[in-house]
Amino acid sequence: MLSLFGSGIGRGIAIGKAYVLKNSDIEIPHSSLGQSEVASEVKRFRAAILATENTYKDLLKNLDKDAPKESAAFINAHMLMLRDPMIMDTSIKIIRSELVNAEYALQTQADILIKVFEQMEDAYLRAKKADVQHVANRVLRNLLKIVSHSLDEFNNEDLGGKIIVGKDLSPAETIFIRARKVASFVTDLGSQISHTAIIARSLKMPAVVGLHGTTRYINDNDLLIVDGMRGIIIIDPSDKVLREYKSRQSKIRARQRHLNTLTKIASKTADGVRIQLLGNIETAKDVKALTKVNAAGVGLYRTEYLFMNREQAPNETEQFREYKRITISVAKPVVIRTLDIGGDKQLDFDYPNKHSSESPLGLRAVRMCLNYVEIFKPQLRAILRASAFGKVSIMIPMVSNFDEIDQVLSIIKQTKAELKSEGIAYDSRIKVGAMIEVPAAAIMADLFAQKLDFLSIGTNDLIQYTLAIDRVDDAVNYLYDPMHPAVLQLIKQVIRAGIKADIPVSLCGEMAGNVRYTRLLLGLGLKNFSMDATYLLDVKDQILRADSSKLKYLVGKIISSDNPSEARDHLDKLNQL
Amino acid sequence: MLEQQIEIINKLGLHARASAKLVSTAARFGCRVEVEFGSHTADAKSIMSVMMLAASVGSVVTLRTDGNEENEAMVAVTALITNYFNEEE
Repeated sequence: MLSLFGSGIGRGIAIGKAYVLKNSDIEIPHSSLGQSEVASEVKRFRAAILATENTYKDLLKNLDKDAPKESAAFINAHMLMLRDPMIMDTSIKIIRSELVNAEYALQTQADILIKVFEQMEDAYLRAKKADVQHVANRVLRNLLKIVSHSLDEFNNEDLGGKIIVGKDLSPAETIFIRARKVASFVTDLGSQISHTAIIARSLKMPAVVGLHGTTRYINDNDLLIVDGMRGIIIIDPSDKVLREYKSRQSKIRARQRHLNTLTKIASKTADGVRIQLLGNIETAKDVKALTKVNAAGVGLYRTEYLFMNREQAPNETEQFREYKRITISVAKPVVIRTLDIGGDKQLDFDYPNKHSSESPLGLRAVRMCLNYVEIFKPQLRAILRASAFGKVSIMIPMVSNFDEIDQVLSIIKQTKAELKSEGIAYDSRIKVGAMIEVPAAAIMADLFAQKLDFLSIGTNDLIQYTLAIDRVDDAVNYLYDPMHPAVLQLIKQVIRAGIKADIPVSLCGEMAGNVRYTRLLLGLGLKNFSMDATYLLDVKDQILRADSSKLKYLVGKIISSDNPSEARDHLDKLNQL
Repeated sequence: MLEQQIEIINKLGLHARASAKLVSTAARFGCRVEVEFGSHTADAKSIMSVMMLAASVGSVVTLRTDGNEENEAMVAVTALITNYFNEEE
């Protein structure tokens, strides 16, 4: 039995077998054949092609119903490439003429083809070299009997109930976490606020991240306990520990049953102040969970997930269908945030003059949208068209100056005029708001409030920018502090600005779903909380028990405290009131 | 043998999926189907060969069908290209 410590996510406990991800780099062996070995080598190669073709067929057959329409088309294209004379026949010719092993022959031919693609002018076609390598790798895996042990579409093992162990998970890999019914994951990298943590929370999945290299102690099929609340993983637990954790698991489930009884109760504080509890979603799949906890609507729909992990931008029609589908299925107000790409969220597809910044200070979110109006405009059209089917609002991420607001508003106005002249229905009074996540915007919230219909505080980025901490840099993670008085003062300022301008202010960062901060935010005057459905009932439980009239004194102490440990004491007292 | 010039009008040109559709269509017929662009001629039944033409939007290519069902093949391939490869633009 061995315990490792990291940063825990979620309050649950997962118990299951480890599944250790392995790097899929393939080393190509090179050996010479004798004339007598050629025939069997060709036979081995043909068998690998056949096996590969069968896996493609299986992939097609088992394609998730929700998979993008393009997936099947891609698999078909790859199957054709596999059987293409330029890959299959030429490789066999190389085996025969150069007397080399199949792996080497195939990679030699793949390299030649890749070179041709690399020299192409068209960026899109140039990118097709990846398809060639993809197909070649598939065959190489079969030749070398390498089983895909990573989270990709080639992995067809049963991952249900397993605990994924890896260095880090890319946003692309996290999609498979969802699809493959994984029980939990543990990673070397990551923190409370990395995308992996956010995914785990939205999946109600306990996880431990930031284990700093310790995952190398874990082997495939080791029994693991993942304690999200304490940030501990236990490898090969003793019977006693296992029993203890199983009983804790059932207590957590009992608490969940209590929370479920709160679903239908109106959300207001003990002194009768109505509070709106909204949900954050990424895809249509998240709507069900929101409905289950009776959320008042969607406070943040992160549309970027519709754009990620694909080779082509979703066009207006596809976006419209998706937004409409979500609007109708939520059947309550939906705030759609426009594309928020950049930083740790990147696009795979190409677009003219593509520039994407991984820096949190770079060309991202609304900055990127205003630079690539050809991407932004179809999205606005799609959202406006969806607004004919329910109560939809538009939310602009990461605004930092008034020009951006003016530009966005004028593009929306122009788009509306176009739709009108085309006779396409939309909500002419659609509300337009902004995320307040740049300190400049928070400080000037009064003026932003005059130009907009609502504000939403994005605390994850607001904290990152206010405290100058790169959220993805592990080394400065300890400085990330939602309780920093500078952050709290900014939040207060934005809430005040909303009250003054008589427009709603919500908070949609991770803070909104953390029960530790519920009373603090209530005390700051927040009325609209938007969070992942997982947290909604917990937060509601807090709200129902809080008397907002009694919070002011301690909240005042916290936001002006010059002593962090004293502030935490005040927060504890506040939470015990 | 039939021969005809045609412009590639879909936005992404003969990329992977469009090429796949072209190859699947050509493969339905017994005749030889070729696509010529610039100095290269591709066997329309080989996806690699078609993709390597690097024919992007606006390219004018020459289609050639020769042999059994050459008429039908020409009609089918032409329809596919003029229909933007049945993709949503």
